[in-house]
Amino acid sequence: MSETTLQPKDIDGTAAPRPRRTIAHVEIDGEGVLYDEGSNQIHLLDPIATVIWSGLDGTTTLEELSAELSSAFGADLDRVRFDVLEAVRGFAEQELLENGASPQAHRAQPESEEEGDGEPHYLKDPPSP
Amino acid sequence: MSGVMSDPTTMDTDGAAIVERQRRTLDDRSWPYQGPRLRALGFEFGIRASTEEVGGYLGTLFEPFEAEGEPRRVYSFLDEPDQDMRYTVYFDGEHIVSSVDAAGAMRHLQWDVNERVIAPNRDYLLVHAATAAADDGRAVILPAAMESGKTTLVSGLVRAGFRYLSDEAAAVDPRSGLLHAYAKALTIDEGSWEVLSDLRPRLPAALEPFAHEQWYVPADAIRPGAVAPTARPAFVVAPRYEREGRTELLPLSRAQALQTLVENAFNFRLFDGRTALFALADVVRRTDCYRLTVADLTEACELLLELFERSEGADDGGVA
Repeated sequence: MSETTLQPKDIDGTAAPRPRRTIAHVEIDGEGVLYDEGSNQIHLLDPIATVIWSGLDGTTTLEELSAELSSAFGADLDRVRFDVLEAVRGFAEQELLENGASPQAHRAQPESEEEGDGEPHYLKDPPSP
Repeated sequence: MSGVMSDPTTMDTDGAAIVERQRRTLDDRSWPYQGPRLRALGFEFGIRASTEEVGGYLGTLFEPFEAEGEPRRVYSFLDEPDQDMRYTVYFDGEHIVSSVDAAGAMRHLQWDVNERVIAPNRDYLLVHAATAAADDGRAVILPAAMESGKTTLVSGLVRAGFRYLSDEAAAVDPRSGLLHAYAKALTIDEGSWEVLSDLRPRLPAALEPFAHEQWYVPADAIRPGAVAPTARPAFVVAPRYEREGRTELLPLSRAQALQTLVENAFNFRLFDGRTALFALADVVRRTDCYRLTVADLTEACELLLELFERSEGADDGGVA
């Protein structure tokens, strides 16, 4: 396990995790498949976990991601927050995540940069093969 | 294991010298059978045998791999009735096995060829799977762990009219996504002899001991011309044998199929992981995927035949 591997206990709404660099990800028909080149493990994600995984960019906090998903799907924020934290703790349990930018550094960014182009991160396409 | 001695030869300096000395000793013998050059997914070899009868039998089993030219590296198959360990196999000078019985020697020979074809292969993504194709070049990949009934199922499919690619490895060209044949002889275990009784090899008495543990059945012995050329994956079907179950074909998501292919991949780590994952993802994106529970071989083959027939015409691709 690398020093930057994120542990489940580190996961709260202020965390901004990102996939470990050894993880390859493809999405097929809304389901994600992750392959960890380090451990040679394969992981299958259901559609909800796939959407959450796609939002883990190392800069967006889980609280922000929850708000984005709640807004996009018209779902209750508390319920979405619960699902996001549970899913991300599961990813961390599987040692799939590492720390992104520290929440402090992230929060120190100007508001305009933080919001970028306003496009929800989880809607971005996975890298093209 | 009694009656069989196999040893991974130590390839240190002394070991290499011993192997080289053994190779020269073998080269100096006379060989009543010296087979042609063989090529299986890039692994090149030949086979020679101390009797014409055994050599002819082995030559038939490996015939789909025949290539032009002379082999540079050879398996030597010794049948010496006056020795305690009657059968001995070498690859060049490397000792593979000595065995009191023909079946044990055959099992090790087949295993060794498989290992050399599969383990170091960097040209093809190799998945533990049986593969068969329709005459129009559409193929089914049947990925599964050992003892899942892959060989039995693909034997049934070939008997039902499908063409044969492999009972061991789906060889996917990561650039084109096409399937290449690894058309080794179908290796049929005793548990399937009853349902495939018509495929029992008809061997002269002297060769019958070779088939005591497993039947080795070249696809061309089932039907001449049964080996398929390059084919295009149209289906991924994960089979599982359940003696008491019900034969049924159920949809599998493409992501689950990809997971199954990766879990059964032999040489994934020899490729850049991303390259391999994306190549197999491209395969499943172009296929329909299912899970097949096999309780009855004939019913399972009929289900797959119907699957091909239903999608015929809906599929405009062709074999490259």
